[in-house]
Amino acid sequence: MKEFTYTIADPLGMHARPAGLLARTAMGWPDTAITVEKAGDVAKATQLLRLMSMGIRRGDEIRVRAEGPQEEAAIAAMEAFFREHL
Amino acid sequence: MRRVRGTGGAPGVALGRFRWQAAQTQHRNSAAQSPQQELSDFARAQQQVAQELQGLADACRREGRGEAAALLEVHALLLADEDFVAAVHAGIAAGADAAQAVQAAGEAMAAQLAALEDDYLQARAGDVRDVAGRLLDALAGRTADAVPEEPFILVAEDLLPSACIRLRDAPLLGIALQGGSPLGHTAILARGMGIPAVFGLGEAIGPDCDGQEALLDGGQGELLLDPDDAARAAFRAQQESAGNLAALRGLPDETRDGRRLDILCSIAAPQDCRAVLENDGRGVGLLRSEMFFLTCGTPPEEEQQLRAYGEVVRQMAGRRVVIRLMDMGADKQAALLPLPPEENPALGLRGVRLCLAQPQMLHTQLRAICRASAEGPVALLLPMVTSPEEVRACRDRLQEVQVELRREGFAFDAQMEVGVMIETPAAVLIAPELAQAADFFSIGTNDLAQYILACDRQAPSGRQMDAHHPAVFRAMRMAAEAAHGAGIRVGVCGEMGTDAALLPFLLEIGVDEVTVPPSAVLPLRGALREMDAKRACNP
Repeated sequence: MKEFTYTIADPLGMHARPAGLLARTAMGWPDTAITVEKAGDVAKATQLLRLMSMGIRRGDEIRVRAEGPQEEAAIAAMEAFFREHL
Repeated sequence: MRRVRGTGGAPGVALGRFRWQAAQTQHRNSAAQSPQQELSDFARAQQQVAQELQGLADACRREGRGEAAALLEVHALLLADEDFVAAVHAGIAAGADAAQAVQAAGEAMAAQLAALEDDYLQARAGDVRDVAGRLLDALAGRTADAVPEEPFILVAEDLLPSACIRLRDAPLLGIALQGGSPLGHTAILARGMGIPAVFGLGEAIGPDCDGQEALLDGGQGELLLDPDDAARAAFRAQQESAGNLAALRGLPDETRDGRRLDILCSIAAPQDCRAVLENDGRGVGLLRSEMFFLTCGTPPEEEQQLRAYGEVVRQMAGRRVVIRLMDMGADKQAALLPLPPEENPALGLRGVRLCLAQPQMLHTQLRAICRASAEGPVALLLPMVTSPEEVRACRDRLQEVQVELRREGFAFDAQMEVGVMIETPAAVLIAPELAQAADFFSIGTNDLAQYILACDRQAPSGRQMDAHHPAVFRAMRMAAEAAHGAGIRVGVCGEMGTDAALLPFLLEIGVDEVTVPPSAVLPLRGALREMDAKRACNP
């Protein structure tokens, strides 16, 4: 299992567009379970509605985990995604 | 004539006839078929809507409307969202028909979003309802409403974002809604389509308004029902002046006798670029980077800053972008930079002094600005300078950053200009020395007037501040002369730049460019183009 923590920097937080992009990026690793956790609340990175309704805002610390055969590549892609979009 | 107030959804004015659009999506009242049949109906509807959305998104992309296309793609993802689909399946398993299950699942998801504290995410409930509504249409075999052929103002309870997109070819003059949120996607889309919109009108408008004539003002957020002749005349005059201004787009910023005075824009965020381009600003003369810092809880990282600056540079597509180092302190205090309270913040640790006192933040910002300079013409501007040493210290920091970036293999413009804001009496008095150290001057008239006149522009007494004081004019002339003596360009930004009555003075002292808010560009260009520089300078 691989993981990292990240503090949301985007002024709008987890809004519709990055959440949609995140879900789509995560769908690229179908055999790897990718999750996003905020203060104990966990969602799969592919669950768009759940991601939006977690109310992730700027300054929130989230933890991203990847587990599965491609976890190394998946976590690297996720980390790059968060840095670029959130 | 009746006046109704609401909230502005998208700016602009429109005069036309109302067409009421009734909410649809009352689902069929048939007995549920077998769960298997309902599940397959749902799957078919889902597939049909997915195809519609894809087709519409492709069309938007071809038309260069990326924002609308991205929204439709989010809708496609919502349509396939596993929690939404699971809720629909559960509803069908519990005996509901497909439409009931879609309606219930959509409402539950929308309610969940609407209950969030964040205004922006609350507004996303509209997107979920939109997708559910499309599914209900597909299940009921309904197609889109017929669109009136005559120009019309749409009146409705609410307008779904996708319905707004579908109206892109309709002769739609304006949008008036009982509900609606200025933060919703419908508002964003209307602004993108240039359609004036007023929201939150409540029961003041309804189905009985159909066919009535109205004047809609999106900027003011109000409607005039059955406008009288005076209101119509005012509308026509407003339209005509907007038309006259629009005709100035693409024309050079010069006087009748060919003296140039470039008109650039001041902005605070990448979102403002659209206004710069719409108003045909020559570029960004002042990107107030501190606005970006002020809204962040933690100092923005290099990548984040690069994303913002890079977006501005890309959108300006070759037009000049002047990025000012964060100008914090005084009236702009940031949570991320807790500064000890000062007796007199306007004379305290601010501007370039503060930047030099915060080496880590300065380093990060310089790296981001340099990397943005790889994407187009960028210049750096130093705020609140009082000595050539400050300029030299900043140049040293800049050079260190450039050496670092080169070692790391990042591209940047090694020739990036470094300009100095002239906004303190000290800077005016040593302008010749500063002109040796700087590549250009930018005279900030707001602060300059405040410091020269010793009159706080924030304080109530500041209302008495006379920016047209001879001391301010003389200071501007001294700065311009010093700049030209050293062969560098000089610009003016601040309130005084927007005042067309001051254009003769600016031309006379030889100002090369002015930086104004985007909305002031075209009126100022109009005034400039009617002027004769020779006559203005030698009355």
